[in-house]
Amino acid sequence: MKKQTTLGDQLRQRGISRRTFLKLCAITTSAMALPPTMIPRVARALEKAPRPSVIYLSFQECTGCLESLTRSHAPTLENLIFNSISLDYQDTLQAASGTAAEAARETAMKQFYGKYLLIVDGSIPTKDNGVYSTSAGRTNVDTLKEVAAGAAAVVAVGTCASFGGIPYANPNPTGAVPVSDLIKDKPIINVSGCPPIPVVITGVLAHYLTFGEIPALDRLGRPAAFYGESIHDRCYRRPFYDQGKFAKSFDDDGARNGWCLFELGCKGPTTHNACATTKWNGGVSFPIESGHPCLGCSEPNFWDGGGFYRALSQTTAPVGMWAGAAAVAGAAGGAAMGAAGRRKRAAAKREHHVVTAEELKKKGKEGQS
Amino acid sequence: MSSLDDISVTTVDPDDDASVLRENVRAILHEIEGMLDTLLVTGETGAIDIRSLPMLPGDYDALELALGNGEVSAEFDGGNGPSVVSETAVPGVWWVTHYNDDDEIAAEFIEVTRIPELLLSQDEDMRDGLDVLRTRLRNALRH
Ligand code: SF4
Ligand code: SF4
Repeated sequence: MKKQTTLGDQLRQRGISRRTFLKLCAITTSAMALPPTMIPRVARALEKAPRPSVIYLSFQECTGCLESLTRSHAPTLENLIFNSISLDYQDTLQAASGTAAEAARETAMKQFYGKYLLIVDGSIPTKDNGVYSTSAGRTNVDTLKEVAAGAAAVVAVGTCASFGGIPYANPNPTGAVPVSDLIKDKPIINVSGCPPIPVVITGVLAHYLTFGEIPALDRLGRPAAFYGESIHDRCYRRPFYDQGKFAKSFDDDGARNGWCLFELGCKGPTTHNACATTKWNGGVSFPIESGHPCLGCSEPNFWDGGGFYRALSQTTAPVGMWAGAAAVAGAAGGAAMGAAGRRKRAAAKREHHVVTAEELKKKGKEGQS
Repeated sequence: MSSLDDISVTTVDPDDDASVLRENVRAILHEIEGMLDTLLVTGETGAIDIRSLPMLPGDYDALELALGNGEVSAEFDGGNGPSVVSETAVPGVWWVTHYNDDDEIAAEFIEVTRIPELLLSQDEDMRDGLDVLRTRLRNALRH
C-alpha cells in the first residue's frame, strides 16, 4: 500500500509557504462556518489530514449540483480540497469511460474499503425495479447499495439526493427516493439546495477532511453550521418585514424600494440555508437580493408546496384561515375549493410547517425584545 | 423596446436617519470594543468573520467608515491571490481581506491583535529561506 501522504506534506512539496497555508486555513474555516478562533485548530488538523478517497455517483439528476461545485468561486479552497482529495470516480469529470471507469471505482473501493467518502447527487428511481436510471448496465439502486456498503459516510449533495427533489415531486413517475430511504446503516450528510451553495459542499468536505468526522447535523441531517438558521432570520430585508412593508407585485413601489417579498411568495421563513449570508456567485448576491422570493429549494417537498408565488400564509392555510390570510396577504385569488384542492392543501399542510404573517410578526417582536 | 437600463432601481434604507448608527454596525462595534479591552487586559486576541454577518446594503461601508484607516497597510501574495492587511484607525483592530486568484473576496476578517499572524515570518519558511541562503553562500564560495 502507498504511504499515506498528509495534506501538510503535499502543500510543502508544492512549494506553498506557511503563510499561504495559514491563509487557506482562514478561508477554509470561514467556509466551514466555524468561528475564527478555530483557525489554529483547523491548521493543526489540516496539516496532518490524510488524503481521503472520494467516489462520486450521479443518479437521477440534472448535473446542476456538479455545475455548482465546479463553479465554486473560491479556487483557493477548491485547490486545497480537490487537489487534496483523491476523486477516484466521477462519471462526468473523469477522463476514463466505460469499463475502465468502472474498474477505477472498483479499485478505489477495494483499496479504501470502509474509509472512502461517497458523494451522491440525484435521487434514486425505485419503480419497476429501478429501470428508469441505469449506468454500466446496472440500476442506481444496485450501484448505490454496493458502493455505500464500503463507505465511511455518504454525502447526499443537492435536494434530490437529500429529499427526493424534483424527480420526487408529485406524481413521481419513477418512484424516486432520497439516499436516506435506501441506506440505513451509514452516516448520511444531507447538503440540500437546488443546487446547494458551492462553498457549503466544499465546506462539508473540508470538515470531513479536517476533523475526520462528520459535522453536527440538524434534524433533517443537514450540517447545522449552514442550515441552522432560516433565510428569514438572516435576510437583509427583515427590517422591512418587521415594519410591515411588503412588495405587492414585482413592479410596484414596494418592489422598487426593496421591501419584503413575503406576500410575493417568499419561503424564507420556513427555509434553512446559507444563501442570505454566504450568497451566490462568489458572494455577489442571492435571489432575494435580486428581487425574487426564496423558493425554499433546500427543504423537503419544495416543489409541491402549493406555488412559488403564493404567500406562505396562503399556501398551507386550512380552509377556515383563508379570510385571515387574505387580510394579511391580499386576495387569495383562484382558490379552488373542489375536493382536489382540499386534498392538495391537506397534503401540503402535513408536509409544511404552517406559518402566518401574524405569527412571524409576533415571533420577530419576541426575538427583538 | 425597453432595455435593462430603463428599469430604475433605488435602494432605500429602512432607517433613513443617518445620524443613528445602524443597528448591525453598532452590534459589531460593541463586539470589537469588548475584544480590544480583553486584548489590553489579558493579551488574548479576537476575530470576527465579516461574511458570517447579515448586512443591509450599506452596512459594510458604514462599518468601514466607522473604523477608518490607520497607519499600517500591507499586502501579501503567496501566489493564490493577494491578502490585504490594514490597521484601522483604532490601533489593534485590523481589517484582513483574503482574495482568491480571480480577485474575489474569499474570506474577510476583523482581527483584534497586536499584529495579524499573516504578517509574521513563519518558522517553516525561515528554515527554508536559511537553506536557500546557505546554498547560495556555498555556491558563491566556489566561484
Ligand atoms: S419574508 Fe423573505 S424577503 Fe421578507 S424578510 Fe423574510 S426572507 Fe426576507
Ligand atoms: S433564496 Fe431560497 S430558493 Fe433561492 S437559493 Fe436560497 S434557499 Fe434556495
